[in-house]
Amino acid sequence: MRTEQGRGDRAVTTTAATGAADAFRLRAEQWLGRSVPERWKAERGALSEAEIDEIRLEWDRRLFRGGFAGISLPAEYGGQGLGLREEVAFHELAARAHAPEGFGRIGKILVAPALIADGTQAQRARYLPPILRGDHVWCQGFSEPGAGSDLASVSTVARAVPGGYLVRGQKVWTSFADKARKCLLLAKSDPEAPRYRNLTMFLVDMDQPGVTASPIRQISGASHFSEVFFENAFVAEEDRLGPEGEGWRVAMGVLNHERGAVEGVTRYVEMRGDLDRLIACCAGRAGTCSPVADFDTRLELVRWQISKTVAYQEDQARSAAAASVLKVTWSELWQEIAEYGLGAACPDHHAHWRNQYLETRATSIYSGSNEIQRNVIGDRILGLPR
Amino acid sequence: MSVNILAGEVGVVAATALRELAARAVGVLPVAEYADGAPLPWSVVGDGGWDLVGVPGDGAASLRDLVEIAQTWGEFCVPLPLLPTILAKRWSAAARERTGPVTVSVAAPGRPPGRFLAPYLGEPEVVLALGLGAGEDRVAPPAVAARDGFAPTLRLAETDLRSAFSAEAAREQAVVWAAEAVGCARRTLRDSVGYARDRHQFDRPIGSFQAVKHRLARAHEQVELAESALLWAVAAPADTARPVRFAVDSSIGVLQTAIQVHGGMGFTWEMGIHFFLRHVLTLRELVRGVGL
Ligand SMILES: Cc1cc2nc3c(=O)[nH]c(=O)nc-3n(C[C@H](O)[C@H](O)[C@H](O)COP(=O)(O)OP(=O)(O)OC[C@H]3O[C@@H](n4cnc5c(N)ncnc54)[C@H](O)[C@@H]3O)c2cc1C
Repeated sequence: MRTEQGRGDRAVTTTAATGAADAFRLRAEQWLGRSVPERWKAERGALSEAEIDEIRLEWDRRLFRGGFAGISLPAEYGGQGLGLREEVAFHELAARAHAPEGFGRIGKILVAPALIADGTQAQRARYLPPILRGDHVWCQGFSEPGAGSDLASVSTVARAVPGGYLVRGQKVWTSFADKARKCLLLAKSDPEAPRYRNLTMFLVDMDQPGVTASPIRQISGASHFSEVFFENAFVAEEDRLGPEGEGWRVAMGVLNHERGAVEGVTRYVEMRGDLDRLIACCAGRAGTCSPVADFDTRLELVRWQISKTVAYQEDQARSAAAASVLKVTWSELWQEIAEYGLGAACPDHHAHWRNQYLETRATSIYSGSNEIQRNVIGDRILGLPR
Repeated sequence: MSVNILAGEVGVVAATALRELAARAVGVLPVAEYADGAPLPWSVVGDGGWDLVGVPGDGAASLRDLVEIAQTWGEFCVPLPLLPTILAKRWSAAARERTGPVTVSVAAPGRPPGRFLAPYLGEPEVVLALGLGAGEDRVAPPAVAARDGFAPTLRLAETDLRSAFSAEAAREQAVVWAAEAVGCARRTLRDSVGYARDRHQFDRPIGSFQAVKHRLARAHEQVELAESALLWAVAAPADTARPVRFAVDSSIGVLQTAIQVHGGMGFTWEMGIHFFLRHVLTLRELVRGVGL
């Protein structure tokens, strides 16, 4: 089994770390050392739900003030203008420093890249700064009761009216919806147009009378996602993201980020924490924990797979091939780690593993189920006949 | 090999009757609606004498019969201590003297030392049998040290009192709990197959996609083999642990598949698959606790 130190020395990317990257790591490490709230580190388990929310909201703001919001986003849009390598490095250091997870995840990982790829200058100027500052929590309004795996069949309708659109319909499983001020919404804008060309992406204000979010209880008992109802909610013309009829293309870009390297690395660090916990529990129980070494190997491979995805960025085909396996790999490995953790019955971590076991049941469902992702691998990466 | 494959008449009759009782009480209700309640009063099974079905004597249920009963009972996940009571009254004269429900406690690996786990302890009328074919044959009033709400349908409590089991009583208890787990799996598989037929995506039932079909087929393999493992466990007093663990682990696998096949719905509290999952995960703890 490796030591904590050994892991820290390992380079994240396959290319040699540059002096600049080292400097970034050092700066990040020092900043994290100063900035992670003591209460979070020391008494996290004892904090109330409201206190946790407050710390997480504040963390997004601190990240911004410290110059660590939007690490891999271009500087002209308020990001740090660094690479994915730094993004990866920061998440890792943050996890090691036991930093909280902000509520900015969807805004930064999904919405910001979509704004940069498809937004107008005005949209970027208006929406990117509050995302980076931590002022706007976003949610992703894609799935509907009738449109989960078959996302293209969304039936929420955006009807053109003078100056914009009126939205009617229902979304479901919308994470953070009860906290969000903004929603990245996929809706049907043209009932007559053929499948895939009838959809449009919108940037919708959640703070308006036509929008209600009602939380849904999950199997762990927590309620991190909601049903969201749109009853003639208004979206201004200038809050359409990309042209009418191009919502599907925009959505696919978002899904690629959702299953991509930055998302992967945030999961890697969470999993690393879990696995280290398991390793600690198994130490001194020789022979009872044989799969743990295998988990360790596979988890480090997740990290190498991320590095490869990042390194091949310029080579679209190779990068897509590498990225395509990320989400299926980490999601199932995490489930196995949690299953094993629960079964290993470590006295000190009983409650942790019960919760983690239940929570990880979702990893193979969200961001598009693993069945769907394997269909994607078969169809698009391997080019198998449909 | 031919012995004990089929349940005897006692087992079949009891299982059929209990299926009717449970179905009448909770039949079409989602488990989320009754997991925290009392959908079936003790008197219904008690008045029928079903808690005495394993009491030694003429026409007593065999272990194979108890497996039949436990599998059937497991399909409903009814929060009622029928199975521990059957076992307690089979092995303890003091338990038999009680008209109401009786439970047992087992070791609790991974818990504070000196704590034992007892399903349903602290529920109305439930007492604890302390000697099942071993130790002093008496019952104790409920002394709950802590509650464990993880599996609402098992109402687990921690207690400082430990039931003593003879080797055979412990073995039977483990087999019965494993059979209950397999019942949970069988039921959930059936529900999942139903869901895969009804739920449409891409204008087709999701069960028509090979990925879903194979997952469910695999779950069917697991349930079938788990049931066979129960037969093996019944027939092999010296080698019960392996098939019992296999049966419980396979059941957990089936429940995981059920969540996946239900997609986002499977991850909701209200859909209720997690009640079965929590139930079976807790049965696994109990099986370990009783020493298998
Ligand atoms: C914790 C959590 C958070 C989520 N957060 C969000 C969010 O913030 N925003 C959002 O928009 N959505 C969110 N989702 C929704 C998620 O994207 C969907 O649950 C997922 O796409 C599956 O859709 P579904 O639930 O309708 O399942 P279904 O599509 O009904 O799928 C049911 C089963 O059928 C399988 N299946 C379906 N079609 C096929 C096929 N063609 N081939 C093979 N198998 C198939 C699936 O893999 C699955 O096992 C979240 C889900 C979860 C669990």
